[in-house]
Amino acid sequence: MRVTDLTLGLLTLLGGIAIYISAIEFQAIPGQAYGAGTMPRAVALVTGLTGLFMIVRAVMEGERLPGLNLADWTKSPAAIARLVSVLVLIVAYIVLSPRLGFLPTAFAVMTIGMLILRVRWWLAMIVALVAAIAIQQSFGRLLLVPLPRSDFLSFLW
Amino acid sequence: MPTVIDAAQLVFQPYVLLVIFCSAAFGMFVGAIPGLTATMATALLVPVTFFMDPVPAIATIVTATAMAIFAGDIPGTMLRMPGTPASAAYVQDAYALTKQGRPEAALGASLVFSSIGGIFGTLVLITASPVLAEIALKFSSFEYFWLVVLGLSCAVFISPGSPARGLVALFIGLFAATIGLENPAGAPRYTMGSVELMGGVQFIPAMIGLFAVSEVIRTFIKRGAEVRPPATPGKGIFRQQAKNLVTYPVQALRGSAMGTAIGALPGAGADIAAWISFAISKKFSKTPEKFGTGHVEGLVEAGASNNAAMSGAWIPALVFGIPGDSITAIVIGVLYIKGINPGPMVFITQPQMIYAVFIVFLLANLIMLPLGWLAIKGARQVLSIPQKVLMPVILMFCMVGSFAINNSAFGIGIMLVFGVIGFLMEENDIPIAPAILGLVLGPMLEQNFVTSMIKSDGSFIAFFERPIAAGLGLFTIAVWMIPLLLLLMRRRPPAGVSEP
Amino acid sequence: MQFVKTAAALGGLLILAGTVSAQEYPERPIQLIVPWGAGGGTDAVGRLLGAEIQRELGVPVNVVNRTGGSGVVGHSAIANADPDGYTIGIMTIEIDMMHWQGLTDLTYEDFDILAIVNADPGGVMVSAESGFDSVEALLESIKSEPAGTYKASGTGQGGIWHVGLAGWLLSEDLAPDHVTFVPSQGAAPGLTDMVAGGVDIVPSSLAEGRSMIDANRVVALATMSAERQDAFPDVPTLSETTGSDWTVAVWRSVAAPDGLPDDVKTKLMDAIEVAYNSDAYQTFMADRGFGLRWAKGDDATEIVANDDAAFGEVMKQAGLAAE
Repeated sequence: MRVTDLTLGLLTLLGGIAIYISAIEFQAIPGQAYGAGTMPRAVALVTGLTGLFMIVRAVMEGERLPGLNLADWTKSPAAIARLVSVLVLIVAYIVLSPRLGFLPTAFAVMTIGMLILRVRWWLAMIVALVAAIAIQQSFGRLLLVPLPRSDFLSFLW
Repeated sequence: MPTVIDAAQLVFQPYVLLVIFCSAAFGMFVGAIPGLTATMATALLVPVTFFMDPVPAIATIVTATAMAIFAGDIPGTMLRMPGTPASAAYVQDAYALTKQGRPEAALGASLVFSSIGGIFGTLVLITASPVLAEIALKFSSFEYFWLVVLGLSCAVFISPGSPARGLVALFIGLFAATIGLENPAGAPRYTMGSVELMGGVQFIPAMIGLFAVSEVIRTFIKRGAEVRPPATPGKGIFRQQAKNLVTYPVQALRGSAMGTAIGALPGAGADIAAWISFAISKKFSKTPEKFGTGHVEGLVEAGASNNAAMSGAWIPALVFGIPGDSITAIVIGVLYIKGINPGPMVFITQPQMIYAVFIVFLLANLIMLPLGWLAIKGARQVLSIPQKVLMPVILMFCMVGSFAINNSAFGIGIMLVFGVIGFLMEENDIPIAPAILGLVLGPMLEQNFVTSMIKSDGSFIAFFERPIAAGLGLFTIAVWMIPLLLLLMRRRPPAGVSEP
Repeated sequence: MQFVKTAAALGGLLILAGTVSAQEYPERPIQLIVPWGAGGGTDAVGRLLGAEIQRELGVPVNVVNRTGGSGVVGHSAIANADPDGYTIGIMTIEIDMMHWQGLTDLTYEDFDILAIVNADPGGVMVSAESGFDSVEALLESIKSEPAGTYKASGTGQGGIWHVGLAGWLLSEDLAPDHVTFVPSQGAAPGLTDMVAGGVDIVPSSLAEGRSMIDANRVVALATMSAERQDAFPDVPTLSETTGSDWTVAVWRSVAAPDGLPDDVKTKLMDAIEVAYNSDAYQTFMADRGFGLRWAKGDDATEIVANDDAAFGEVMKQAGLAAE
């Protein structure tokens, strides 16, 4: 999913303009000419200039229309599904771990992750279990990270 | 000289040595876990040190941090999860070496030259700290502004590919850094009413997302099909590095000196030092085109610089009690509790104590070698695990590490967002590293720019009025103008060679 | 069969959980939220108190840093936790300022304040190279020069020392922004900038400037407290010198979410009192140069409430409060 130079230049220019517009509402420090808006505006300015530079260079090199080159994996629905699955696993952990506690959620997330990558189910479950307990013990016990904890399976903690 | 002997007697006791060994092992462990930081290791040790004598208390923290900083390179090299923004400077080369089946080459260089840089920095600390601290005190917001701009410029120029794409990455980082409340005006920006967003984008989860999660996503897409070359058994980690030392003596020395100098500036520290050193290394290299493809030259210089800066940070801390980073801040606290009040007087009133601290510094950098060797030997086992088994576990580490930074699921959210951004960036050949540095240094850039403008009542001339600021400013501008001039002289590049 | 076993195990667990919660408080680890970063003064106070409370109550007290948003993130985390005594936190003076700035709706009334454990008065510090040897001379010079000639730093925009400076200027019949305030990320960067010649005055606590004062780089001209500080007996108060009655001090307190059961509250307050009086805490505070101050329960709440009102007044006049 690779955009061409011209597209990237256009996107950068648009990004600069968007940052500038969003920064208009930021006020200066009372009694000063500078404040919350100074930095976003400066970033917007240089971003826009870089975008312009990229556009000019792309046009000089003969590019006329913005385009998009699709990488091989985008043609495979299964590959796209696997990409989405990573994001779903992360969101699932965020949502479920405070309710179920760390151990069950971590075990499930790792097992499913390995099953998606076609690890044999029994191996996936063993590795996930060992890893979950090891992480929980090292982070939770030793390093006192307050991992999500629930009454469910709380005797392990 | 009798002072040194007194000091040595304070250190070379079985109890103190045992403490050093244990805290070294602890620091190695914490640093090697992806997502955990040296600061965290230090904070965990503070309550323990309350019950110790001064020398072992300081030794505990100094040793643990030195180890944790080096050990942070292990997940960086093996899994592309740099532990600090400083090690992000050379993670590209280190990870490339791992992909070629030579993780020991990267980790060995990182280990040996970390140690060399650390020892160099300590020697400077012993001999020249009052002078250097005096210079560091001359840095006000004008000087820091230029230093940050210089550091950011280096990040753009060292990134592989075109500078324009490096700039795009930098702006992504700088923009992300404006989110939240931590700005000179104390005004909430882009928070959309969320309390968590007021805290802004923490860079560790962002870094984990950009580097590691994007790699996990790629592996999932390919279903772990990538076959790594079998790891070639190392010829002996230290023998390779002896060869590197003969090949790159200038680089090691230059990195150490640059790191110590920049590290001595409170607040600038290892992050900027490593990047500037990497850029210098590439600039003066005979083979700059090899950078980024698994070349050890940059690793040597930036690795030495990184740890030298850690030692350098103690210069203002010991001489004036000014903390350069969160680690020195913690140690200054411990020093006070133990009745060693940092300041110029400490060198006169308690010289044996200060020399004992110096000896601990040297010991910490030496014990790093054998322990680091063991850690490298152990860590390489990780690579024998098939990727399809390893990646979901790494994903879990990413999430727990992102959570642990602020003990909040929000960190995992940041990681997720930046994981996707990082993936898209790499798909488009936009380098990731400048985005990290933009995110880390953005607040510092803004702080120093806005306060400078307030102090100078809006005059840009003030940025060149003070001698050091003028020097740094002109140098930074030259760094930008020279390539532009060269570009103009060459006019349009012939078609076809622009980018692959 | 597997399901039945799991269900039975789960049922057993629930019963177990039920009986456990009937036990006397505390029966599991307590979380102590620190709204500031690891390594800072508040973090150190929190960790030390935590260790002592742990000894007293017999359960682990885990210090958890929730940083960012100038303290808003961490304070919100404390206030939004369950008021069951298993989440407490270090509440700092920013709680009396952030709601005036319009950053949050959170005020001290959203907390059960257990105790104030430390207070450090503000000061007036200048660079040793400035030539000022008394706060009167400094004030005279500030008054005779046009507004904005002198610049001060030492905390963020609208931070405690900014309010302290504005309050002092107001008490001397000057405009609150007669001295331009340059925001910094804390006292240490402000002090370094002052020594480097960037600003003229740092109105932060003298404890924060101690090492620079000892190094003869910084001169402490006055303390913004009613009495002289034990650690700095030679530094006069404002009322002794310029006659201003303005005082300001940062305090740190231990607080819990609003609505704590009475027995839990009493138990926690007693444990904190023991921790406060422990040798470890007392010597630590003295060695770090932190000011000791003790107030419990309602007394502490009153101090917090008074500061809240006073700061609101100054911040409105100084234009630091949101409309």
